Amino acid sequence: MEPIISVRRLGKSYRIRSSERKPYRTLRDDLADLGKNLLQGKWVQNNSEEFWALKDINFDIYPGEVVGIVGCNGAGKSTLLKILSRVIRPTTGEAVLNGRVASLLEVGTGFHPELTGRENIFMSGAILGMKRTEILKKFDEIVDFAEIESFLDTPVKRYSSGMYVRLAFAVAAHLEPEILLVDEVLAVGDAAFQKKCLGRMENVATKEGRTVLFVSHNMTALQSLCKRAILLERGSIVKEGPSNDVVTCYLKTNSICSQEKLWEDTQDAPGNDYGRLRRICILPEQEVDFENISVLTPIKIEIEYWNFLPNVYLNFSLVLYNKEDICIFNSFSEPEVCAGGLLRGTCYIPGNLLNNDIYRIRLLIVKDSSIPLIDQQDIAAFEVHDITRKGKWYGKWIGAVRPRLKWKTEFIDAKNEADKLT
Amino acid sequence: MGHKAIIIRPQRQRLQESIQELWEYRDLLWLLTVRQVSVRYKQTVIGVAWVLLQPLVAMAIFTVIFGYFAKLSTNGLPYPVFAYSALVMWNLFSEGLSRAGTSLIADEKLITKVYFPRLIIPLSAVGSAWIDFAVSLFVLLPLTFWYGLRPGLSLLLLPVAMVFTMVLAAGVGMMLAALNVRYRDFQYTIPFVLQVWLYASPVVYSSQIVPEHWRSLYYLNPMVGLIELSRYAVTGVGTVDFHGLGISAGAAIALFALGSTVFRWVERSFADFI
Repeated sequence: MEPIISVRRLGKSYRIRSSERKPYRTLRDDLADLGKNLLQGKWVQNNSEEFWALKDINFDIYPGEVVGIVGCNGAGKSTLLKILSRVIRPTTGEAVLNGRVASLLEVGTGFHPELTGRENIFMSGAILGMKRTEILKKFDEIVDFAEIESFLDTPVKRYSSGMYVRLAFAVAAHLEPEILLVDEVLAVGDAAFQKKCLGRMENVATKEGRTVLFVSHNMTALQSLCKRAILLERGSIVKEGPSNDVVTCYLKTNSICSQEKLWEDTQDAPGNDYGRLRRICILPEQEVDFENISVLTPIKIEIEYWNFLPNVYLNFSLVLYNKEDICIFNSFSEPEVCAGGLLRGTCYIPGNLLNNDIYRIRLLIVKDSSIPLIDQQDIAAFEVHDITRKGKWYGKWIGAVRPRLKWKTEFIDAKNEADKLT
Repeated sequence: MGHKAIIIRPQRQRLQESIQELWEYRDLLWLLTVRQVSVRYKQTVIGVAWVLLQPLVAMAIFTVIFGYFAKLSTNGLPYPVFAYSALVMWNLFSEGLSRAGTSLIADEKLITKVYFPRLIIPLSAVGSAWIDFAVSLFVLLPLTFWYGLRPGLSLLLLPVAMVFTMVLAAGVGMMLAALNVRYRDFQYTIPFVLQVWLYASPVVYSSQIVPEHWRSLYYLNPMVGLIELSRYAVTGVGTVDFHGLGISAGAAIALFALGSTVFRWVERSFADFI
């Protein structure tokens, strides 16, 4: 089978000003340099250097495939999609696309706040490459999907943000390209909307058999939608294959889990005259799988501490914050009389407690259960990953924690109220 | 459309491909033009009347100052008609140029998010100025009749002058738009350039006052020939200097060629620099 997208030796470089430039330059300097360069036959000033956002990218995608692109910020994911959607030109190489391309780099491209919903449907449709007759044919469907019938002739600037996003996505969702390029559109809107988007994406991919290239940071969605994935790192492809493998590889190299911080030089370690930290480490309780920490994994946090105050009552106190700065809990060890020297405190966090998120640790060493000797904000951070879920919902699981609680469902009576009604 | 392969390469498109693609996107050109016009007069009380008000006020001022006080020669035309017939064409040019010149940076979001032939943006800006021009004709023609002028077949020359004016506005506008993406300085030069250009064109005065031996050089400003042509077209008074008109038309086409070349040259890096 012929590939529908075939990319060969694709590269994109940008010129960035080199740091050797003087803090400020006068026009006279610039003109003098220009003159000098012209004499040497060079037109471009030489004080810029090249930065390759993408380098030597090769891949093939076959019709009907849904391929995810992962990588951390700045890896070149968006640059790649922008080249494929022809917004920017590559510096080297070529890409051949065998079909109509629609790109969704943003929800609401081409919307104008002053125009009404109706006008914007036509506008946005045309910008995304639909013909007028096509839009007319799909018009009712789009309006239906967006649920905005009664506001069709209101300028979109008066829409609620939810209505705006729904309308924008509705237009994009009814494009009929052979190739669809999607960049992080799922990052907007509320949970219900995200669910609708993902449902639609799945439809486009599985039922209508289109080719989709999908960039997202939502690993759960990505693993569920895509069979194959490409991992980009600093502008190059580092791994390509089944999406589960690629995502695992990405998480292993790019997350801040299983982190260890070690201060070998006591002088530089966080602390003061009462004591100093030596090491903090977050790791799964069973060290056999030194992989990622998921919502199921029991975790232990080890803290090693040089105590300079012999024979006092000391205890460790740990405060956990999530990405939204919500305090999840504060937990402390039993106060004990400690000798001077190296101490180790270990805190065990059971599995099925934390939600998937990034957590920051604040650490306190407390004397006599009341006087904090050391109070370190952000001493370490770790990430708890989501697990592959079955079903239709891949969005963020709400709640600061995600405990697995005991449930019971009982059958009480065979004759129910419904019988009486009929 | 759309079933042939799209090949993405570092090189520029060939001219033929660009033109073909522009034709495929003609729906979008139309929609963007309509969008600009409708957005411009949304939430205004008198709406499209603004299109008429501006040249009418300019005409009144010019009539009082240049016609009444300075008594400039007009080859026997009533000064209001003399000024307004030129102003209509001048506004088509200046509005087309200034809208096209700032069009790319105004539509920055579109350029960085979605692909279509970039040329559509400045062209639709000139198109939106054309709609204003068409509206202003509804005052121009009654005005000439009211002053007792009876243009006949000469009216057929009006579309010719109009097309060349738009070609010129698009050419200079494209060039400024493209340069604006790189260096924002160019947006500040637009009002300045237009002001100089206005007095270099026979809007308030007649081209007769320019000495004979400078005349050929004078016609290198394309607006000279085009304004004279439109004045003749709507009044039917006087003759057309075909030698001068030829120079002006040639200069307009040359500027268009230059503008579109600059545009195509810079086009591929728009999204990188904007």
